[in-house]
Parts: sequence; C-alpha cells; structure tokens
Amino acid sequence: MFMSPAIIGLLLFSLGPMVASLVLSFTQYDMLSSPTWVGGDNYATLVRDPLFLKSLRVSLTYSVISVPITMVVALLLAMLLNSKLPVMGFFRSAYYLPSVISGVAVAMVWRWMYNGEYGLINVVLGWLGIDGPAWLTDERWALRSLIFMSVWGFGGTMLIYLAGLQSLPTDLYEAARVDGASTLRQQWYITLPMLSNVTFFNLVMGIIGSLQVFAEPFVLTNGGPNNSTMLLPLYLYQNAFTYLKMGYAAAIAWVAFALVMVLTLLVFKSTPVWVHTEAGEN
Amino acid sequence: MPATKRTRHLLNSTFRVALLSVGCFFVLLPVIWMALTSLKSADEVFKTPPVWLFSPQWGNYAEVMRLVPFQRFILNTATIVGLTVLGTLLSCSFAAYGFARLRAPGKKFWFTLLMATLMLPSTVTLVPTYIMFNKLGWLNTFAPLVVPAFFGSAFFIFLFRQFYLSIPREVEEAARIDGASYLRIWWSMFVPLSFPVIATVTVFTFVGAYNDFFGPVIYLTDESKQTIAVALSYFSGSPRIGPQMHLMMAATTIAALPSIVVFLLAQRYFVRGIVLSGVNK
Amino acid sequence: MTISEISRRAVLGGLGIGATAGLVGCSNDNGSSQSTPTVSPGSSNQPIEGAKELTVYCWSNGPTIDDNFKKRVALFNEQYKGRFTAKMNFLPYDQYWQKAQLQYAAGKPFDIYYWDVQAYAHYKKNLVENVQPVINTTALADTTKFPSALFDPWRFDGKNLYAVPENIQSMSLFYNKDHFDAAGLKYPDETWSWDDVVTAAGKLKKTSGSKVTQWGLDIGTLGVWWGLQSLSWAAGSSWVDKALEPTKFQMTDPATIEAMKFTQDLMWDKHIAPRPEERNALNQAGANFSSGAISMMCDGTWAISGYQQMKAKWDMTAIPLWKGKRVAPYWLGGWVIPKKTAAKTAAETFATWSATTFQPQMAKNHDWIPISNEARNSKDMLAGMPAGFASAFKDIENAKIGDIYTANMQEIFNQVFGVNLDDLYFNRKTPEQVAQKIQEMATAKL
Repeated sequence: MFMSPAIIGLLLFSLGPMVASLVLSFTQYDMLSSPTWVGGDNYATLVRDPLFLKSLRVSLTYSVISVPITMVVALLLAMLLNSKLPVMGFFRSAYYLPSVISGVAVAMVWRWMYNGEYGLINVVLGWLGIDGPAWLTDERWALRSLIFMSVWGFGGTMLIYLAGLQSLPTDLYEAARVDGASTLRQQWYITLPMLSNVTFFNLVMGIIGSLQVFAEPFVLTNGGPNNSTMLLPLYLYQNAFTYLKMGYAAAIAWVAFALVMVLTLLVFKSTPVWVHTEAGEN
Repeated sequence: MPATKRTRHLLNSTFRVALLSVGCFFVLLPVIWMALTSLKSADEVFKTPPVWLFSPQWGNYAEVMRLVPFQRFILNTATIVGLTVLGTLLSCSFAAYGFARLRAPGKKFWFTLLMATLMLPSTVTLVPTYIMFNKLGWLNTFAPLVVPAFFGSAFFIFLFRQFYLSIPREVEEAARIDGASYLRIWWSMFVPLSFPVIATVTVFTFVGAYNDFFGPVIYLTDESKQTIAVALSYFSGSPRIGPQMHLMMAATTIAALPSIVVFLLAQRYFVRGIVLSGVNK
Repeated sequence: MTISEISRRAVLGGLGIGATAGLVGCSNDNGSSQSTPTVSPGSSNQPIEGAKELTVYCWSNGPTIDDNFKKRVALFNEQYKGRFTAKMNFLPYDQYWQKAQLQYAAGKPFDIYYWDVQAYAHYKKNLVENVQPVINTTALADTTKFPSALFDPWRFDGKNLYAVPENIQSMSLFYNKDHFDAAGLKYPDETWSWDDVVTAAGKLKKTSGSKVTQWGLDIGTLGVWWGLQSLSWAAGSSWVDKALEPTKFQMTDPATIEAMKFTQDLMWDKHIAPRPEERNALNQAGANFSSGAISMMCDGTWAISGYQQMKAKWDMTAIPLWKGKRVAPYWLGGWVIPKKTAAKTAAETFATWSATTFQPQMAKNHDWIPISNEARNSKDMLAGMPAGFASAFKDIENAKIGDIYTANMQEIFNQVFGVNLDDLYFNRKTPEQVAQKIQEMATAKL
C-alpha cells in the first residue's frame, strides 16, 4: 500500500520511456523519420568507436576521483558545522550558498575564473608566486579543473550528512564522554558507524550523479581540448541531438546504465560489511 | 575539572570557527566574484587584470528588473515549485516508509527498478517522454513538471528510506502493540522523527525545481507560463553573441534570493529536529 | 575562448547570426514611424490555409535583441490586423534545436522557425516546405532588388528555395583607429593585402618588458574553418568540391596547406598575433578587440553590435586580398516552414513580409543586415553603421556560402575540424599533417 504511489509513478512515467529507449538502441533513429531496425549494429559500432571508449575512460576517471573527495570534504565540513554555536547558522548558509545558485551562471563564473592568465585563480596563485596553468584549455588540466569544480558542489552531500548528524542520538556521546573518550575517538567509533547509512546513500548517489554530469563540461569545455573532457553524458547528448543519432545515443546510454548498475550493485552487496542499520536489514 | 573542560571547549570552538572562516572565504570566492561582477559596468567586467575597486553600478539591477519582468514569472514559479515540494515530500516519505519497514512481495524488485530509473541518462528517454506528454495533451501546461512529483522520485524515496532504516524498531513495536495502524505510525512517529530529512528534502526540491530551466523551457511554450529560471537563461546570449556578463550576474544574484530564504527557514528545523528526537527517546 | 570554441561557435552559429547584429542602442524607435505599405504579401484576398494564429520560433540572443524581435512581430500584427496574429517564442540556442527535433518527433512541428544549418537535416527528410512558389508571388523573386545568386546554396534541389532569406552576414576586417593614429599609419582599406596587414601589425605591436600590451593582429575568425577557407577560395581552391552535398574533400591542395601555414605563422613564427594560450588569456567573450588590446582582427559582421559599445574609435573594411584576390564567406538568415505547419498561410506571409515590406524598417532598426539591396545600401542603414560597412559589403556578390550542407556535417565540424585545427594552432602540427588528417577523417564521414 505504501509503495503503491511510487510503483504507479514508475509504471506511468519512467518505465515506458525506458523500454522505448532500449528498443531504440537497436534502431537507427533521427527523430525526423520512423526508426529502422538495425539489430545489434549500434552496439557493434560502439566497441570500435574510439571516441566512445575515450569518453568512457574520462567519465570513470572523473567519478573515481570526484566522488570520494567530495564525500570526505562534505563529511568533514558537516562535522565542523554540527555544533550549537550561534555562528553556525551563518556558516551553514555560507557553505551551502554555492549550491543554491543556478548552474549555468555558476559555470560561466568558473570558466572565467579558470582563464589562464587573468582568471581569478591564477591571479591568486600569482600572489603566492605560482605560475598557474591554462586550466581549461590545457589537455592535462582540463579534466582536473572540472573535478575541482565538482568538489566545490559539495553542498548537497554536506547537507545530507548534516541531517544525518542531527538525527544521531545524543545519549551515546554522553556515555562515551563519561568513559573519557576523546572527541576524535568519539567521531571515529560512534559518528562514522552511525552515519554509515548516510554514507551509503551519498556514495550511491555520488556514483550515479557523477556519471550523469552534463552541464559543466557542456558550458566550460564542450568536451575539449582534444576530447579530454568528453564525459559520457556529453558525448551521448551530441550524438542524440547534434548528430541526430538517437539510436546510437540510446545504445551508449544503456551501456552507461549497465556500468552504473554494476557499480551500484557492488556497493549494495558490500553493505553488510560496513553499513550499520538499526533495523538490521538492507 | 570543570575549568579545564571549559577551556578545552572554548579552544575547540575557536579552532572550529577559525577553520570554517578560512574555508568559507575560498568556498564563497566564486559567489563573491559573481556579486562583484553584477555591480560592474560592461566595460569593467572584462578588464584585465581584474578590477577590485570600482564605483558600484546599482543601475544594473534596475536594468535587469526592466528587462525581466520577474513579477510576471513569480506566480508560475511559485505554483510549480510549491506543488513539486509538496508532492515530493508527501509521496516520498510515504513510499519510503513502505520500502524501509513493511514486508511486501517483490519489495526488493521494485526498489531496484526504482533506483534503475535514476541510472539511465535522461537524454535518451526525453523523446519517448515528450511524445507521451504530447499524447496526454500535457504540453504547454504545468502537468509534466508537477504531476510526476506526486508519484515520488527515486532519489528522495531512497533518502527517506535510509533515515527510516536508522530509527529503532522498538519505537513502532510499542505503538503496534497499542493497536496503531501503519498509516498512523508513519504520520505520527516517522514523519516527526525525520524533521531534519524533511528540511533537507524541502531545500533540495525547492532549489532543484526553482533552478530547473530545462523542464519549463521544453514543456512550456507560452511566455506567460514561463518561470524565473527560464527568464535567467536568456541572459546567456547565443553562440555568436556572448552573454552580457554584468546583467547576467545581477539577474542570477536576484534570482538566488528565494532559495537562500528557504534555506534559512529550513535551517531552523534542523535544530528543531534534534529537540524532537530527544523528547521522543 | 579557445579556438576550438570559436569553431564550435561557428558550427552552432551557422547562418543564424542574422538575429544577432543588433545595434543595441539605436533600436528603440521602430514601430510608429512605419508607413503602411501599399502592397503587402498575403494581404490580398487569397484564402487562408491553416490557423490564423502563428507562433514564430527563434533562439534567444539576449533580452535586448529579443525585444527588437517582439517589436517586429507587433508591427506584423498591426499590419495584418484581423487576418493574422503572430506570437514570438524564444528558447536558448541548444534547447531551441532540441525542441524543434522533439516537435518533429511528436509529429507536431513548429509553425515557422529561424534557419540554421541544423534545419538542412529537416529538409533532407522531406519535412520542409518548398517556398519557391510563394516567393515567386513577391518582390523577393526580383533579381534586380535582391542578390538572388546568393540564394543558390539554399536551392537544395537545384531549383527551389526551401527557406525564405531575410538577412545576410559576412566577414570583414575590423581595426582600431586610435591605434593607427598613434602609430601614424594609414587606415586599412579594400586595397590592402594580407602582406600589408602583416607589415602594419608588426608596427602596431607594443611590448612592455616581456609582456605584449598591444597586439597588431588577432587571428580572429581567420582561425575558424570558414575563415581559413576564404584564403583557399582566394587562391582558387576550396575545402570541398561543392558546398551542397560534397562528394570529396580536397584539403591537401597546396593552396589550402599554404593558407594553413600562413595563419599558423602569424601566431608562432612571426608572433604578431597572440598564440593560442596568450589568446585564451586575453580573450573573454570577444572583448579583446573591444578592450583595445588588438589593433586588427577579422570577425563576422554580427560582431558590429558588440563593437558599437567600444570606447576607442574603430572602423571596418573588406577582408584583405590574398594572392591578389578576395572571396569572403557569407551567410543567410531566414525562415523555415515545415510541411506540416499548423498555420501555412500565416507563416508564409510572415516570412515574405519580413523579407520585403519589413526591410526598410530593418535597416532603420539596425538590428539585422537586410537582404534587400536597396534597404542594405539605404541611407537609413549606413547612417548607423561604421564608415567601412559599405566597403565590406561591396563585393558581396562574389562571396561564397560559409557552410557545408551534408548529413554528417555537424560531426565533421566537431570531431574533425575542431580537433585538428586545435592541433594546428595549439600543438603546432605541420599544415601538411593537419590537412592530411582532416582529409582522411572528413572523407570517412561523408
């Protein structure tokens, strides 16, 4: 009964289009004329498409680096912010502020800050006597620049951690304090295990989210230089709406889907080892 | 030793505040830069090296207000955002209770399927979805933006579920023995216990729906139905004509205000959440 | 802005720049001064096919320019009161094409939409109306009043037009007069060759220590594939055998390789133009020429509006001669009407009205460059333009279309031209290598 709205919604709005896109992945479809069945051709092309393989590599690199760093930064900040000091209200807002501003404008500000010679970042580095690279146009630095920017978007993850910290029962800490445990030990032995549910959520969502990043590379680099920032969703979009190869794009999407699914299942399977739940089920 | 304890606490707090202040500056740098830019003249915007001192052009804001009749978009935006937040909160916390607590056949299957909807890039489901909304006659109405929210979204169901999983079972077992229905338990125990999550989800859905420009721009046609986020996107210019940076930044700054207010309001509930869970224990 | 980004812009911008040449400051006086024309397209007693309500789609160029567009539609509604009611709808560029695509997929195409290269795919799928019969009933068919030969690239079947042209853009040389005055040099004019430009640029370049404070030249749109191709054209070659449905690329022609070498040398060997990294650093939204850091630069005529706000004095002239010749690229702006439009007559009327009756007003507005010869050369037009505007458009009859129309063109722009020209300018690959690589990769995609 409780699950029914979600299941109805799923059947109504999501499942149909998903199945349709799966079918489309076996067709040639330009959205202008009816799709024609090509069997597994799209998938066969895919494995031999150097740009697809490259974008797969780029996307994986991006996720593997960006997700853990973002989570650690978010958790540390959430712990620092989880205090009853009156200034914390201000700090919480300040740290979350970047996440409420509309994406395109933020991306434009970053593009500008990354400017090789006169961008804010290199100006600041210049004060410290460091000669910064031409971030977005240097093949070695472009992807790192995007990752750095993604870490800056830690606000959502931090907020979820903060909500988790706020829900922790205070009696455990009191007991620990009575036993003379240091703050650090308390965090390590109580906070982290108690938060594992939240960490699990953030990890799964981080993986799913990072493999869907589109707006930032689209606005900042459009995949360049030399396709070094051609993240999978961007390549997919180009194929779908710029090159009108929707069938091929669907094939890419389903491969990406399989990849995320496998990663997520691995994380789910690993939960008994590290995720602590009151209810003892997962 | 209460004295040393207090000193340690004080030191701890000072350290905390100092660390946060430094970090704060760096995190806010892009935002500060945005705000500064919104007050520059078109000429100063691209000055190299960057200009730090200048006479603020408050006229940029007047210009933005003239170009974008925000007041015309406020009602549309409020309707869409309000309904989305309401729908998401109700449906997701409700469904998540089922996924977290109840034993139902195929629960695992449905949950996996629900998660799967998050994993397929939406670019490829857009065409079938669009055709479906067209068949339903929903194009150029708020329905495609609002109705799905009332049927839950996988992300928030998952989020609620994770929090419900960490609520001790004894709490509801006692209530079950007293003869309370599941609906009652959900409404009078789980919902109040999860105030911090509700606040979080509210902020997320608000910011998400408020900043969403793709949905309205694709599904709505009439200018009279458009939202603030869409109006903002017009400052990006076109591929050949670049953006008018100073105006774009001023418009973005104005548009960010409601989200900030919502966050400040939601923040109070974070605190209230602790108090409540304390009382219930 | 990187070079690859410019080439992307070129790809994206395609022809559609018409909408963008708004002279922002002088566009608020239209509407009331317009006298009602004696003969308007579609105003006769012909029967109306389809709805009387028309939604006109265009991508957004920013609030100021969009506003001018709304005024045009208001004027149309005023002149066709009781007959048609048009409504404007703007979308950001990328969503505009996405939505056009989605509407076609749903079997409910736009009533009428603004042209860009993407629409060629719509023609290829037989979805776009042949507008020749309608054009034949209007002044637009008059070869003395309109540069009809320039419409040929849009005659996709060899005979008929599949979009209604209403404005035109080209490429020209922009220069900072203050810099020339300070250096005591004569201004460039249409007799200048690229050698003259190189000589002058050397004299205009200023350095302070190791830093260049003023560049004599910026590669500008000469570094974009169509700018580069204009040199090939002048030398009697071309990148493809024909712009419409090319059958082969001819990149390895010595004329094209020489053009590539020339532009590469401007940056690397002669260093009178900033190198890519220097250029990225300088370049933000094309403000380099505007901010007075550059003395000369080739750019599209859509850039005029941006430069009008410059503090320094500036002017423009025709692109310099190469091997004694000059062939500029040009682009048309105009309207596409789907076969399945819901408002056939209204759409046809709006398009042809824009291309004929509205032209004098377009000239007065200074927001787009009119397709009508008379309007383009009218006093009203020239009064608000830099002195060299006329010279830049004098040779327009000899210009060639700055586009290539074939199914995989978007892919060739992004994956072949963009990446390889980056190799030429950023990574200093030899012109021979780059030409060879483009040749192979592009041919494979034909």
